[in-house]
Amino acid sequence: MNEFLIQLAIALIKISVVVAFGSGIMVPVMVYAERRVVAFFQQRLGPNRVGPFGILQPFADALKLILKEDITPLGVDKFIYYLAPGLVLFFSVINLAVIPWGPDFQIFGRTITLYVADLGVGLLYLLAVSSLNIYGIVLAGWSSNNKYSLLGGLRSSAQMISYELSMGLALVGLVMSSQSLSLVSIVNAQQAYPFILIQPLGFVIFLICMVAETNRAPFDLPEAETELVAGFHTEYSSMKFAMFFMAEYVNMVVMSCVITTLFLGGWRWPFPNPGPIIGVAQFLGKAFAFLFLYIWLRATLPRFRYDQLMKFGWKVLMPLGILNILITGLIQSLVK
Amino acid sequence: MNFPFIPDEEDRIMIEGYMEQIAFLILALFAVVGGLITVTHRHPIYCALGLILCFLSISGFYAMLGAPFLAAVQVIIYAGSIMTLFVFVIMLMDLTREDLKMPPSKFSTVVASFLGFVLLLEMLMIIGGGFLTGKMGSWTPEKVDSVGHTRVLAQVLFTEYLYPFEIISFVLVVALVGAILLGKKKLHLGGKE
Repeated sequence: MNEFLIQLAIALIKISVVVAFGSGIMVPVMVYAERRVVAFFQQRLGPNRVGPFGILQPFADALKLILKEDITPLGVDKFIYYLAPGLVLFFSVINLAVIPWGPDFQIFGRTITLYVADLGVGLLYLLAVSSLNIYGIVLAGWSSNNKYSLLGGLRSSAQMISYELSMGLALVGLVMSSQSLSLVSIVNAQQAYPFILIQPLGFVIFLICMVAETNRAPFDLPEAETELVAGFHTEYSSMKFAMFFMAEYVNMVVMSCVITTLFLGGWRWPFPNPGPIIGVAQFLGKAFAFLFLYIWLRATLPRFRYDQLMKFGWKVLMPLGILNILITGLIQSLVK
Repeated sequence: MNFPFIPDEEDRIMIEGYMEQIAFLILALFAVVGGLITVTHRHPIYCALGLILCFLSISGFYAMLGAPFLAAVQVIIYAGSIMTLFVFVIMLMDLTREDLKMPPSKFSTVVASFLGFVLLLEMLMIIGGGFLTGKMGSWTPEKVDSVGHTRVLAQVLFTEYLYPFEIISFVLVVALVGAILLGKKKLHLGGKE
């Protein structure tokens, strides 16, 4: 067999597996988990009729969404109206490319890496893609020709820009500790201990920002039902609505994976040198804990008011992020 | 050529060369189309989107030239932040169909054509005069690769170009403060109006 073709095949297989995992497996799992867990929080049963324990509910939902009438309201800007949901889903999925899922392993005498790409500027790639993620939402809100949608889109962009800043600042401290922007090197740098131990403040800031970035409760102002109907996706129906829905869950999965990679040692903690299966299990276990946290927050906390949200982002999180950089720098210069 | 075509090592290098050329052509096409949309489309939102497309393709060029840090920063700052602000403002302008059908003013057409012509002349002079390849710096691609692109950039920025870097950041802060001052409706300087 031929080396070039094999490399190509391996890369394509890895991409397919990651995309299938991120959007095809995790979205139904999360839809089911969210409805079920929130139901238990609220002393209800949740979906329990379709299949055993209702586990086929997400597939019934998907079927329903596909078969629904796809309405394009009058007065929308058609090109952008059709483009926006695709953009949102696209920019959510491509983030999965840089996440290291587990250790390298040998099979048929060749080394297989468990990541799609090891970019030298992986962290910046994540930030860049999440800054582009805003466009889908803003354009969806604008092109719908609806005041509620426009307001939802504006709110969401303002929120994402504000919290992206604090997120970037929280990551600066982390990069100072890891001395690298590549996610693979960051995981390798956590062989002895996870970065949450030396960057506790950065971890807390990142955790708050990641909830805000995904527009989830208590930061779900863009789709505040009581004020904005459904926010930026009010006018969307059928599969186009489903794409926004999927993108939200893919974003949650990505963010959980990222925080696991950056602060909890990725696949290297608690066992620093595991085999591929235990490594991936360690990674996914922690990621699932964060996904549960998302649902937990949604079921527990009421929504912020808009001015509280902005004040919290700019007057609390941003100064804390700068403080974190100062402290990290001080400690590092003292230790040296 | 044998069939089915199975590439060997020599072919691989050739294929990679082709792939680079194809990537360049696609990016160049996007950049030019984005630029054309920016200047010709009647609707400002589409102009902004065209400009974003242009910025993203340029970031692709940076990545192809072995400058991943610049590529990422190009996306974060230009495509991600500055253009978000533009789109934000355009969305709030509330343009009607009549606004969009209004022809551009004669004055701006004349000035824009003149400036465009000057720019075209400059470009032709640069390409024709062979000014494209500048002086060779001390950081060759091999040297940069051995240290790591981001590390080199940081080192040079915070040692050799420290003063320009600090002055630029100072100027930016001044601009920021100025913008906030202009944005305030009423100024209360020294307690008196």
